[in-house]
Amino acid sequence: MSHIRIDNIHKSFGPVEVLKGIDLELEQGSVLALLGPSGCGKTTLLRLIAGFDPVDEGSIHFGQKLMASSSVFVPPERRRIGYVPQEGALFPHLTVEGNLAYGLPKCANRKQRVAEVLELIGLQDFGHRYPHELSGGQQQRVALGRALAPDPQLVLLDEPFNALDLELRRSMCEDVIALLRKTGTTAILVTHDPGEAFAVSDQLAVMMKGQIMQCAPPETIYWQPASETVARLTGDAIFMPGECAEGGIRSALGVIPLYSSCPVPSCHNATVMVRPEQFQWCQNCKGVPAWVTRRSFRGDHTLIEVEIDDMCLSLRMPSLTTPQLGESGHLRVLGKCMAWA
Amino acid sequence: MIASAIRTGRRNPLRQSWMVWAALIPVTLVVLPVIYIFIRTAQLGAHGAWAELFRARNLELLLNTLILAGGVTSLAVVFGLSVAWCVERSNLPGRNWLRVVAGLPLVVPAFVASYAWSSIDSMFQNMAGAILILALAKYPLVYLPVAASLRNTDPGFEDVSRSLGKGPWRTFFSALLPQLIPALGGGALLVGTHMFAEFGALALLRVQTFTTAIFESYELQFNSSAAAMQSMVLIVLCIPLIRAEIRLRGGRNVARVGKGSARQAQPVQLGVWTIPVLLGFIVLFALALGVPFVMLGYWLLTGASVGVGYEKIWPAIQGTLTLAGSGALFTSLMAIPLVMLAVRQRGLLARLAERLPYIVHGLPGVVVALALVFLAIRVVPFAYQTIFVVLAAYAILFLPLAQSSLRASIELLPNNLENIGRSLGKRPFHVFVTVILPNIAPGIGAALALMMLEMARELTATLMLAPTGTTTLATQVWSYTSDGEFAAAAPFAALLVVISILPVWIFTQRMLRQGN
Repeated sequence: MSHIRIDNIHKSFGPVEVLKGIDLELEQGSVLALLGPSGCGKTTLLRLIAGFDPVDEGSIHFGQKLMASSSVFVPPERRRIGYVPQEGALFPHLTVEGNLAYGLPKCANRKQRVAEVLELIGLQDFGHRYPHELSGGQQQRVALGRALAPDPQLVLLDEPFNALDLELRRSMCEDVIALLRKTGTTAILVTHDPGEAFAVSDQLAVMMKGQIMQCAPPETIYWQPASETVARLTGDAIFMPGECAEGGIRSALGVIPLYSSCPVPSCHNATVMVRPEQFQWCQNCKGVPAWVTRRSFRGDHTLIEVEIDDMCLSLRMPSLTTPQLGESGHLRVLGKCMAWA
Repeated sequence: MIASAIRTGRRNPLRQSWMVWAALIPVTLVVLPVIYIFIRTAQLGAHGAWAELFRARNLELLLNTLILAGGVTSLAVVFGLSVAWCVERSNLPGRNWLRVVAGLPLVVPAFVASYAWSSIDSMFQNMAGAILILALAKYPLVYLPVAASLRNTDPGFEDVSRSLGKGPWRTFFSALLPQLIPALGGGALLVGTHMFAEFGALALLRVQTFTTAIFESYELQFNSSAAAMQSMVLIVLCIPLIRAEIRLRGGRNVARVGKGSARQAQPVQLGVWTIPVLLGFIVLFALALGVPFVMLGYWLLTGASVGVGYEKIWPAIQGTLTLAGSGALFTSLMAIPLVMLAVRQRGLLARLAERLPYIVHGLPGVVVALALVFLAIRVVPFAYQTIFVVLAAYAILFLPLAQSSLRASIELLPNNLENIGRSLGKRPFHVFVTVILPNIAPGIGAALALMMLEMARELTATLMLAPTGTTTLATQVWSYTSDGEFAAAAPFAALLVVISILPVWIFTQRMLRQGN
């Protein structure tokens, strides 16, 4: 019942229109990732949902209840949300327990709830520490615990792992998602890291210049991006010109089948998109003749540049099956592709 | 459904209304002097005001005020700049020690220094004497920021200038000095503003400026139109300084962006100049510190009026503590909403609320006091001659001080702290009390200490507004010295100096450390 609905939100700061008509829907218990480059308006959108800023136009509903529109504004303290910002922003003058208890009502069984949350975030022995006595990862966990403690109907995470180093980031990301799933919390996560967005979300919304470019499950976004922009924002991509053909689209790589979701492009001058790991190398198989001109070993994968006809492609292959520098062979495209006019 | 939402919602959400209302009180206070001038001018009418403004005496006062302010500021810049360069950029022996001592003249309030000098001989009681004595007392206001700035400047610019064929002097003026302008200008403006506002020292040194004239008119004739018009001239004089300061403030922010770690400059070898420079320092310290301290010691021990006012010391201490203590508390309380508005919110109101006190900061205490007397008698006659009028005057005069010290600690708080408090279901005021206040407590403590010191040393407004019978250390120094009883004034003056030592030392250290 508690699902979040955002209709046609507009927001300007002075003359600059930051959000230009945002529509989003979010099922109860699901996690939505908002992915976009910095300055695309994703944090602004999050702040509107939280109620830190008013909307200019459009509406935000939590379940049946209208939270914000051009004439209605429910202040943040009455929205039942949890908010986890980039830096954690724990209250420096309160202990971990104090931070966790801050949002709990006075009368309820506070102590018990605090103990529950401490266990949930795995910091049972740290209740009496102050924020400055915790590591970055622990602080972020407390920040999440503090947001979850009052049992909010929606948790908003604003690039919560940004301040952490890479290693910690990965593990924190997994921990947090596990936690959100365990508690069945509805959540929106803002990030500019596609890997993070793919890993955590049920639905992924790609934002650009104040608009949602595409909103879909992560795999759909990755393999079937709605536009070139979305393709670029969500990972490396190879673009090449193509034309309609029997069974798909013809390009320098031969005929590749199209995804059914793909709007049929006009048959001349279409742009074909494949991902750089969508290739198989073989010596004597059907495929386009190719020649390795560059090779860069990266551990778990290897980057190569190959020449076919007059084109140069950058590909990513599993290290064990990557051809050697200077080797000639054939390239085969796996799976399907997208194409746009 | 929607109707109920409308009922709970507000059109303009984050305008934290209690804070806006709270900010209106200090803003109103600060505007009072302007209201006073306005009313008095209106009462006089255009002709009356005109006649009162263009009296021969006012021209003389104008000249005196400008000469004094110009002279003291120039001399203080010369002292401050040369001292700062010597301790920061030369190989002067003992410069680590000299660096701290050079800031110490701030422990002696200007009117105490003037008291010390005029008690030696009346030959110092003229314009030349006043310029020298006040420059000696105020040059640390230039020296401290310039020294800090000298440490921050990248010597690379100077190296480049030298490599391009400019000599050391051209390099100093074309490569180094422009970088010091913000610090130098800020310090000079502060000295200039102090000179427009200075009353006690000038009265003791018998130099007539607008402040002393306003005070005299006030003493002679309670509600004189001359005083009102002179106040107006004084305010007009302050406007360019205020504008310059605001501009400088803006520029300084830009200059700080992208500060890299600068290499330490290689100290300049003084060579044969070492001895003359050291002698110069000795003379400077002897005049700026030696004379006041020696004279205070002398008058404490000898003189016809030794022991005259001993029984009044304790009441004066009590009076000082009461006025300064409650004044500091009241002013901090007024400053908190202003600072919160400025740090957390954008918009016209926030900007105005923050800037206004800085604008009025140039107002001399004598004008503020005069305005408060005038308005108190007419609007709230029961408050006249009570501590509340003094508190109001202190708040007007020292709000900028409270704002800048509070601002530093409030800016340290993460931006989102209030938002998080609210997202956890607490109302804005509750969040302020449970989250913001505990975290800025140390900042408030420092602000209180600083303000108490400044208020204890404040003379003009205290003298004019303190309830009958309430004395402070500063007013006692004033009343005994006016009667020529130097020895009787000495213990009060000495106490004022003593309470200043620790805060000034800490302030000096902090200013100098900014360079590191």
